[in-house]
Amino acid sequence: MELEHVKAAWQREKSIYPLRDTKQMAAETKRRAMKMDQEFVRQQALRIACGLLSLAWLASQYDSRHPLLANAGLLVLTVALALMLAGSVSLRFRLRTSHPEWPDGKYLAEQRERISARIALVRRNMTWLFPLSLLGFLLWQIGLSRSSPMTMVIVIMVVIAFLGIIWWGCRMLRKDLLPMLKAIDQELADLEGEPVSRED
Amino acid sequence: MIDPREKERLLEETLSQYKVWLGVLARNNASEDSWQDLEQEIRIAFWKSLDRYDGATSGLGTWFRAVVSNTVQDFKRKNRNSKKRDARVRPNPAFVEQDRDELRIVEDFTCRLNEPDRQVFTMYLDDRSYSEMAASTGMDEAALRKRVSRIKVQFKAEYNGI
Repeated sequence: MELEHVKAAWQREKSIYPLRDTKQMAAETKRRAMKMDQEFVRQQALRIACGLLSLAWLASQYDSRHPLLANAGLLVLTVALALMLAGSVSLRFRLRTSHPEWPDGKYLAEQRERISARIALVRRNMTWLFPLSLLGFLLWQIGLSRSSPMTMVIVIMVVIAFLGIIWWGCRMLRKDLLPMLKAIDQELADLEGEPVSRED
Repeated sequence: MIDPREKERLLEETLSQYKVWLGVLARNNASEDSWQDLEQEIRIAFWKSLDRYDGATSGLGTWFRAVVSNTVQDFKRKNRNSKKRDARVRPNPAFVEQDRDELRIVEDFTCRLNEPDRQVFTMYLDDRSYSEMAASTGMDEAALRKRVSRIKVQFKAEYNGI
């Protein structure tokens, strides 16, 4: 291939996609970056506020006259939800900064660490905290010995919602996070010149 | 922490120098529907990374290229894991033109050059005159001619027969 052909292709590309003004591009970049930061803060604030409100509502349900089983269930549910909220919020803050300016290998290692942290959080939630909170919820309701049809419907709906969340978390792991981790491992191995196992 | 005005100046300087190359690279690595997203992701990643730029560890061009390379890889990785997003990354057949192969060679070749050669090569592609190149790079015209000639030889050696 001749360099002149490449140069001609470059020139054609420039004519197909006219260039925008640099100042305008820079201004747009700053505006979007600022918007992303604001959105991050807003989402985090909303997440924390909703979490705290839910926890406060659960705490308000505590009544010393209720049976021990109900109060214990409520306590387990509240603690499990608080741990999930804390884990999610702190991880998002931790992963907020990345270093794309680093050399390939170092940056990939950082990305691997980020994905691993997300996988660990999802696994912890799916294996321990979600089942624990579901158990807490059931104990709470059983302890209260409510048997009205409305209560039964609510319990069934909550159980279905919990199972749905667990299914969604497992799917996210299987379809998104684990393949991404595998791709990063492959890229790291390619950088080091070593083949990586194709097994999961 | 970098001074905000200095940060803006560096962004503008880099964009003015590399905006053509950045657009080509985004189009080489994403589909017609998503190349602008990739280009924007790169610009935002670079803008954010400038907070840590001190000018001592590497030149701005090298810094920018590292950000570009890592952001492109991230983009491709993120977009290949679901069928829906895969469709965005897989080039639209209508978009794959004859020129793309040549532009992918530009991307490949520029990544292998050192920083001064890259700068000269990009200006050569932009059809800048030697006097303009000399004004931008601070090199004299004779040295630039020699450098361009060396780049042409290197290009021919690497892509001869393709």
